[in-house]
Amino acid sequence: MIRYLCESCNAEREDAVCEKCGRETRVIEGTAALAALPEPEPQRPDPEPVPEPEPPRPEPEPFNTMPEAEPAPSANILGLAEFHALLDRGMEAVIVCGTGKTGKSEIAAGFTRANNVYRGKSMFLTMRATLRTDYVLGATNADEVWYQIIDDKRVFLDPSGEFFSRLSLEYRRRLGLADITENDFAFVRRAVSRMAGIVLVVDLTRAVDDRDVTAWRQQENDLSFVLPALRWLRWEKEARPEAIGVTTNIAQRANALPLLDKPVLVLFSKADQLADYVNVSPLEFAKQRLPILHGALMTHARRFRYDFCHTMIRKPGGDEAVDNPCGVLLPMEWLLHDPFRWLPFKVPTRYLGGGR
Amino acid sequence: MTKAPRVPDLRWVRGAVAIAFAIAALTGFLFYRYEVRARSVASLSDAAREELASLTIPARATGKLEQSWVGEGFTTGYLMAPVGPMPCGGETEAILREGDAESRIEQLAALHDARPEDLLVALALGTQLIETGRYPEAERVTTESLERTSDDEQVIAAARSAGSTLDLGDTSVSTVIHLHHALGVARLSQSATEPPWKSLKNVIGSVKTLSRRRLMGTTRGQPAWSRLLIAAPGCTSTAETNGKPALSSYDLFDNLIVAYMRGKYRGYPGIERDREREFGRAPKNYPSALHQLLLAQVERARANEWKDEAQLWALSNVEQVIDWRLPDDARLAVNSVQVIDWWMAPERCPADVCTPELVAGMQPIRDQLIEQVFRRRNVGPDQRVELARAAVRLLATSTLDRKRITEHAAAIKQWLPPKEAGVLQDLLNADAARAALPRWAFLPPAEGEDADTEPPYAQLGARGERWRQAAATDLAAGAAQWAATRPPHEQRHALIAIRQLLGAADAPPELTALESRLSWTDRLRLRLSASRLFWAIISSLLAALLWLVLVWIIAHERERRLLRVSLYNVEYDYLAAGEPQRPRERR
Repeated sequence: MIRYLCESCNAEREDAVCEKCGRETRVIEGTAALAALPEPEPQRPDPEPVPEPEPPRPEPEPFNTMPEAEPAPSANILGLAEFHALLDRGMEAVIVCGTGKTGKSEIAAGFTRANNVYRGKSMFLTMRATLRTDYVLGATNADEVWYQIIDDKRVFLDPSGEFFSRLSLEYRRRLGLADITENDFAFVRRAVSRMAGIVLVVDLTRAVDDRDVTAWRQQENDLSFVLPALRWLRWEKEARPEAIGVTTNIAQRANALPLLDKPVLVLFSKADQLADYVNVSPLEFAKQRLPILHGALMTHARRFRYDFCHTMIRKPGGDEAVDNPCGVLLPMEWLLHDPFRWLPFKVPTRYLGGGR
Repeated sequence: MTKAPRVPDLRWVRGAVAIAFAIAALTGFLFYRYEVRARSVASLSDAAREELASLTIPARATGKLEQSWVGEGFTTGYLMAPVGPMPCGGETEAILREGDAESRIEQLAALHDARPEDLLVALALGTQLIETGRYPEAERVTTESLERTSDDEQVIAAARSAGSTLDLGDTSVSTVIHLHHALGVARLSQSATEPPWKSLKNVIGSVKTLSRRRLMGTTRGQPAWSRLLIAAPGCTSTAETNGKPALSSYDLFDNLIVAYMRGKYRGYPGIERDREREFGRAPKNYPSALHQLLLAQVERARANEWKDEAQLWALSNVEQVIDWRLPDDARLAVNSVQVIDWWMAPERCPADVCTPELVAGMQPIRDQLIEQVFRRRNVGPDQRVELARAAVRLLATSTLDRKRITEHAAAIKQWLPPKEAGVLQDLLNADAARAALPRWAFLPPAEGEDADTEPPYAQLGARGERWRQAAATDLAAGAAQWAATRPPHEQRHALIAIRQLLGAADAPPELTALESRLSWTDRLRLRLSASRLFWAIISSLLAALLWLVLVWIIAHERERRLLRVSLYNVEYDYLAAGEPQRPRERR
């Protein structure tokens, strides 16, 4: 059983978010190793043996996630089987990407809310493993994918941030972990093949220093790997030689593959706290302040756009969801409802003013 | 639902797409019009158009269509001549002036019983019985009276031997003729009775005697098959007697033809001699088409054991009448055309008999007879509707220039119920439209003439559209014949224009024959370039492509503009304008 420590309340918790104050918690060393031990699962006839976990390491900053040695096999990812069943029904996935606590789940929930309020298209939130506090979704559990139905054809795939942390090369370097394996993509592999769009969530409040041009370099680097990885997953048909690792293979092959044919929406979350930035065009902001991410989009995505958004406001007692999320509805509609989707020979965004 | 935030460019994008659609549709329409006009008759030279406008359209497809208009409700039988007028003078005249028909019959019957040998009384009684529809009694009275006298045998014997003398007065001869005619009418009016061959044939022979005597209304030496008026017994004039026209030799022929067409001729001793006399014809240098038809059908009948012989005798009589002179009698004309049509039906007239030349030769004869029906229309009130229906039906099957009978058709129309009168009017209108169509189709409107002048077939109303299609086929036939004489380049141009004019209507053989001279690739190119549908498809594709390109530009311009817009700010401004709760302060 993993135990967490809420530093605000100075109390031990069972959840990653403190139920009392809604703040983030820290994993108590030693409990993660216990939790990684295989548990008997009577419903699953042939559970894959979980390899020995590596000893816990100190938490890397800014990722406040538990260290982990090996990826969870797809059979052990909570909610993935049900999500795959939805794909088997012909649904398409909007993959929400971003590291832990960037607000991915709240964006999906916020769009559902806004769609109901403004467009009269009602949809209820699907069940998650746990609900942390009233009216706040909180973080998705590690090794869990959450999905939120958009309509009868599309569904948000909201994987836990830990999945993306595992794909972070810097994170792995820090922890001295081995190269990524193809199992690390188990949470998203099938979703990529039936993809309707990609949402990249960037939390601009996680800056080292606002004045530093590389303030968000960590997230840029992480997403700069996610994009070619998704491109590679979507288009690569050739078998990978065993001698070549997954990251090397992606680096070598991605640019030779077709661009991502589905739109990519980059959302700068928690915009209510970014008063200094929201007055400029999100495109210009990205060009100036997130050049690595922008370069990755130009390289790997055919159609993309940036925007700010917020779905919660910060209050003294903790973050609270707002009734009318801002910057979620129209950008998501841009992603989901392109009225000219049927047009052939579309020019990539980078030639329409979205280039350097 | 709260009024929702919207992407700011939505309105101009929708407007631009709509304008793009309008531009594309207009371009497609202009392209279509240009291409179709460039291949229409309007693109032919003025000289060519003048020549085409002066064409006479064959009434083939239109004629066939017009015949279908009279397919129902215009069927008639053969028209029988009525019984002749009453005799003049004597006791009978006094009786006939008084009382009603029943009392007259009673008085005449009493007189007949008292003087059964008096043929005038028998004729008056028989005629009165026929006029009241008592045919069996009339047949009995006239038969018994003729059996009691030998006058009829004297008349017939005198008629058969040239130069013989006849010891009978004109009244007696006329009485015999009228009695035989009355007997014929009585028998023909009863469907079950065997047609009175002998009676009807003998009475025609008797007319010769009258002709020799230059009776009123006859010319000395005229044959029996000319129109001889026979004064009623005791009457001195062939003008109307007692409101009825005088009997004529045409009436006698008419009933004989009706009898022949109704009956079956049975063989009898000496028939071979009679056949030779009836069907034998002196050789002619210029035999008429009817003469040729008769001879061919006689040969056919001879080979088929004289099948349909009675009808062949009818044809022979028609030929004799027409060979002398066109009968100026509506009833006989109607019956003659029907006899001719009966013998020219495909099942009785194989291709080796009814050759195209023979059929073409018969048309003028038919047309003249039909014209005569309209001009004369000399029937009593009880036969007017039947004659009018027959006249309309025959007109539809004729090639007669209907302008010639327009006036007379107006009189015939009054005899018909409104619906059938409408058909007659449509037939007249169709003929006028057929004549006006080439000019309307090939020549531009004259100066001062409205470009949207009503087409000539507009007066046909509901029948107009189908008639237009048939007329297009006929027009194409005439135009193809003209095109066949033109140089290759002009011919090709004309063929395209003709095909375009033809549209979806059936192509006439003249056109297909002309096209068959081309290779199949040329034919395909010609058909496609003449097809309005083909150009409509091409124009639609062009319009769709243009619209697609314009929309493609609009879509990319929208994407370019939208990329620079902060949708967050759009939503924020919307919230700030309408919601009291503002998430944060900024700016």
